[in-house]
Amino acid sequence: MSTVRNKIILIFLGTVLLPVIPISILVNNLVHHSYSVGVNPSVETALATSIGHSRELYQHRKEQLGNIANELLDQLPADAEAKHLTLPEATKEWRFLALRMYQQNGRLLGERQTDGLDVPRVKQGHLRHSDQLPSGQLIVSDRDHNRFAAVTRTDRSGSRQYLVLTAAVNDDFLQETDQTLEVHQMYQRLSLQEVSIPQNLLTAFLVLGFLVVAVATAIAIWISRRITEPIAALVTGTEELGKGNLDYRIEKTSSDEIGELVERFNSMARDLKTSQEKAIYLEKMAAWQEIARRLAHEIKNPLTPIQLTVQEMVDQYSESDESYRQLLTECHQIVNEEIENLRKLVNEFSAFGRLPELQKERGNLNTLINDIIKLYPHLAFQQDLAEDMPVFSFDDDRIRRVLINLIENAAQAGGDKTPIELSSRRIERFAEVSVKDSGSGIPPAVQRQIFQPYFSTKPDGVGLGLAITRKMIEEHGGEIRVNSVSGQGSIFTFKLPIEE
Amino acid sequence: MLCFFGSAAFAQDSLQIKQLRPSLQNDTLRCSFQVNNLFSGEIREALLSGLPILLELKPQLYNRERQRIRTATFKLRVTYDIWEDRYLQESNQLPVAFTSLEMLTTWWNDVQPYPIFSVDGMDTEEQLWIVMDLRVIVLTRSQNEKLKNWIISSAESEEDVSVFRKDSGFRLNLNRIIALFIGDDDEVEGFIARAASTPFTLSAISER
Repeated sequence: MSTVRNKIILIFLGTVLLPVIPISILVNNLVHHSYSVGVNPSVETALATSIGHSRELYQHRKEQLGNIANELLDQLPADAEAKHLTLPEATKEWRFLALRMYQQNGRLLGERQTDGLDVPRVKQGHLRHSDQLPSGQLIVSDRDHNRFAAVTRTDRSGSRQYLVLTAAVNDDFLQETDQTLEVHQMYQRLSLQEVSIPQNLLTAFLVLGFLVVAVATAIAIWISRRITEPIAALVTGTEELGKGNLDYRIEKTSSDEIGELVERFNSMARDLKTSQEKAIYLEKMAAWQEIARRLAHEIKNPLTPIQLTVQEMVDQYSESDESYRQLLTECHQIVNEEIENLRKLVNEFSAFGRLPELQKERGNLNTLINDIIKLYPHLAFQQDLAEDMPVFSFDDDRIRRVLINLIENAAQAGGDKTPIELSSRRIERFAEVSVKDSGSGIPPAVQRQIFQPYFSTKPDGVGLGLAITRKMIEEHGGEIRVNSVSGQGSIFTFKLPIEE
Repeated sequence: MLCFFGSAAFAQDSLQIKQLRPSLQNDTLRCSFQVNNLFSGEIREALLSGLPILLELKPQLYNRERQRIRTATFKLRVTYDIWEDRYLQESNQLPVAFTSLEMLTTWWNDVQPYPIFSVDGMDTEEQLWIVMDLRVIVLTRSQNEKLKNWIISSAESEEDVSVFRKDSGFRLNLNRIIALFIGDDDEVEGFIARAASTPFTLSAISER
């Protein structure tokens, strides 16, 4: 049985693994290919170029601011004062926030600011830094706050001064360039994980695949056990039946085809046991019949010579001894009575030993019951006969004898006064008849033997009546049983197969 | 010496530390060294894209019995401002700005005596070794989180997988699934280099 189980498991695993392996390869290739669509030198070049352009544009904007600052400086008179400072109009690229003039020592000479704003001033270090530059101009950048300051050095009227133009870039420009940079950085991050992300994906897929295989294996083992365990039980059951253990049954654990097979096996075992019991019973009955027939023959033959001899003895006595003559007459009478009893016994043995062949004819069981009831006008009956009792084939004479035997037993058990209950009904393919008395009941130990030949609880009984009754019923293919409760009477029930 | 102290994981154009030279100044052990191929390959690409590069210097002092008697960790952060075209190196000391990658590389090619340990109270005649580990972390957890969030926020590849019921409302966000496979390690991508000095005594190096 382990071979079948292993085969099932291997087939299951093979079915699961067959697609898993190529799918794993496909997924691996797909992941790497998908990754390379987005992470490849072409994309990198494009992003780098885009960043380069953005940076050039940014530098250009700052130069633009410086040029505007220079133009403003050129427009200022040599002895410019605070009143000469004018904040230029905003351009497409810039919004101007403040214009300030400082002395060389860093003292503020004058300023103009956009209304409502408090624009921070540049640090003195920036002013000094511009001194070091050949162009004399420094652009101080604060992207985070969108604030740019062009610090321009000027030497006018013999003194050094600084013009500081503070402006803000159009927000869209900074945002767009920051987005470009963000994409570029994201690309770098993805590029750095070019190996690890696909590896992790593939690892997760393989782990999932392993889980699938593990679950499939568990399911395969479970299924194989569900299939092979009942089969193994059937094999064991067959072996037990072969050894003669007809009481062996298998527990039905499912309602599928396997369960059906188990149910059929158990039914077959029951039928085998019933058939065996019937066969044994019939063999016994046949043996008993043979014995009865021989006994009847051996006992019957000497009865007449004995009777005639005694009769001759009485007839030939011619003496005058009256007391002796009377003794002879009494003995003759006793011998005749006992011979009659023996003849009755022999007749019963003969009847038992020579039961005629079954002769079935179509008839109505209820009609037969009613006919038999009429034979006992002195007895009381309660009838409950089925209205749907069909006409079917049975041996009228045998069933009549069965009913007579059961009714007479019931009358003996319950007496003439209490009614005998007679009922009939149809149960699927059988006609069932019950005879119930209100006697004292039959003990269980007696119930087990009551249908055996030569078993009787009556002092003058031969014990063949119920044995013959059972034989007649079983010859029809039917069954007879007794249910009895102490003090509540007994019910004898027999059923006959309905053959159309 | 390196064989004893363990091998280093080299990557990307053989990141190297060499020429470890200890010196002593006012009870402070200093070490000059050279780092080759630091800003090249993936590190260079990451730096030029504006990603911050974390550098971790871990000097360890061993005695004759090969016992580690001192250890320290110094963290530096190098970033490149793409817009202003300048490099900033921040550490526990004053930040240093560079106007070109060449200047930054030159700085690392010849790192001036870097203070690493206080040797106050140590035996000046004891034979010592310095082992220097350099870890370069290109992608940190915070960078990874940004990548994950950027992937998840993308709405380009959502798919409706309501196969059995049209109105189930279940939507499979592939981006969110992909983000699951981005690791959560503190150090996602990094490089390591290691070098050891020649044996020295404090008294010998104090005469330099």
